[in-house]
Amino acid sequence: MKTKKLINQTKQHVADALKLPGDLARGEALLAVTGQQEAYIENYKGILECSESQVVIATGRCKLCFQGKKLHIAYYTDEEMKIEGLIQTISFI
Amino acid sequence: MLQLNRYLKGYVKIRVSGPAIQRFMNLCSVRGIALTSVQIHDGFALMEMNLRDFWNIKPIVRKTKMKVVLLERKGLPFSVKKWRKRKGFMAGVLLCGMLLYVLSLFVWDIELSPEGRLTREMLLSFLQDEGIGYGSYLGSIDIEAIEKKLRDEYPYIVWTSLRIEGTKLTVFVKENAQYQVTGKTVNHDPCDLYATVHGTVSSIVTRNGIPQVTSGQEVQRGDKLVSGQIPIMNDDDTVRQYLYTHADADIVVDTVFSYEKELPLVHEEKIYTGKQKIVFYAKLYRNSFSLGHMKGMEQYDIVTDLKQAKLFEDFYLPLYYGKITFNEYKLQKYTYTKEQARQILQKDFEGFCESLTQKGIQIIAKDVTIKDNKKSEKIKAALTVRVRDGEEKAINKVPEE
Repeated sequence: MKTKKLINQTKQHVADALKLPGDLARGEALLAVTGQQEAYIENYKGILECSESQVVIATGRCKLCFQGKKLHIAYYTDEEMKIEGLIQTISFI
Repeated sequence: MLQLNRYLKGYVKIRVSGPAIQRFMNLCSVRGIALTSVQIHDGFALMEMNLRDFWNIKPIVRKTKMKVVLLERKGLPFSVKKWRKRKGFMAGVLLCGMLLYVLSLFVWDIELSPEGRLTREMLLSFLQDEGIGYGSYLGSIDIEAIEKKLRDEYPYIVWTSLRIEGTKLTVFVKENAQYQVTGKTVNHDPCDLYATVHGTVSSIVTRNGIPQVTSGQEVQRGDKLVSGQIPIMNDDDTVRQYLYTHADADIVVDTVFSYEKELPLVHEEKIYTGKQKIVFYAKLYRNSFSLGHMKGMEQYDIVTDLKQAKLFEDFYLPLYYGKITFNEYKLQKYTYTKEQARQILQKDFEGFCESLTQKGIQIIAKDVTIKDNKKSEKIKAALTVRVRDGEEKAINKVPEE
């Protein structure tokens, strides 16, 4: 456990020293939101839940939850996805 | 672009139902199957995927125990199947494609960027002599050779560029502003310089040859100003032989230009009636068609507004379209007052003087008189101007004994 923590800390230090972006260094998800209608997500693991009112996406560290009305996925590939609809809340759970 | 790609490859709309829709979607994503327009409802989801991917989802369907129903088939592969029955339509599409290909092999637009001395007409006639024009085969145009020939033909051009973009030929030229118009730098054949005007020599600076006149001397048109024939003398002052050179000198002559113009007081003016007729016009290669005809107008002005059809940025077609506007007018007689007529004449005269100045002719003195006639006004002017003179004429060599 301690070793894993140490590795993570070292990784963090190296990434900070090299000024690497978070998505590359830590595998964080990238999220771009255009107004209330569109959201682009990259670096995710998969969809956990999907309905017209809620879309939950698994990312490297946490889950990303979109809540709103008439949500649908415009496209879904292994690299990026786009969610369309009326987005009301975005939360990290 | 993505949409076009999808359309060309074909795609299907499916309805997926079962216990694990999310798992199905995640497995598709892992296997590189792109899903689009995903709509999730209670117990089922609608989505679209490429036709090729559709054939690869069988293992995923089996694994997730889902039920997949094909709802719609879209895209070119399916459309072609439908079109197979419509042979006429397919033949039309093919013919259109072939026609576009054939049209893309020829020049349908020429853009010229003439500068200063080289006019648009000169460039067009040069291209015509080279066999390039409207409808020329693009493959036969040797750009480098034509560029070289253009530079050789017009020595004052320092840079040329011919470019073919689509069906459009663009010619750019750049002239050397310092180049002497007379072409003295090119032609070195023996010659004399002759006067082209009657007047008084203001100054003469001879670079080559023997001056025949001095500053302040009066010359007639056709007088020899500088001789290119240089005699080599014997000791006894007889001519031993002649050397021939290309006479070169800066000769400035003061001469008198006369200007005369008469303006009748009674004149006709166009009065537009406001009646207008627009006729639509099209021109295909060299054949023109117009929709409608001109009737009921005796005198009219014609304004033509034409546009060339093009498919893309530079894919011009041999098709022009536009409209011709006929504006009717009637001629009405008016009489100028003496003052108005004088003003008009004065303005014309000033315009004439300005055009002389633009040509590099220096005006030294003006002697203007306006004559009052009964039915007209007349302006008469004698302009003393300073011009550069010296016309080159080849020398007839004296045969050596």
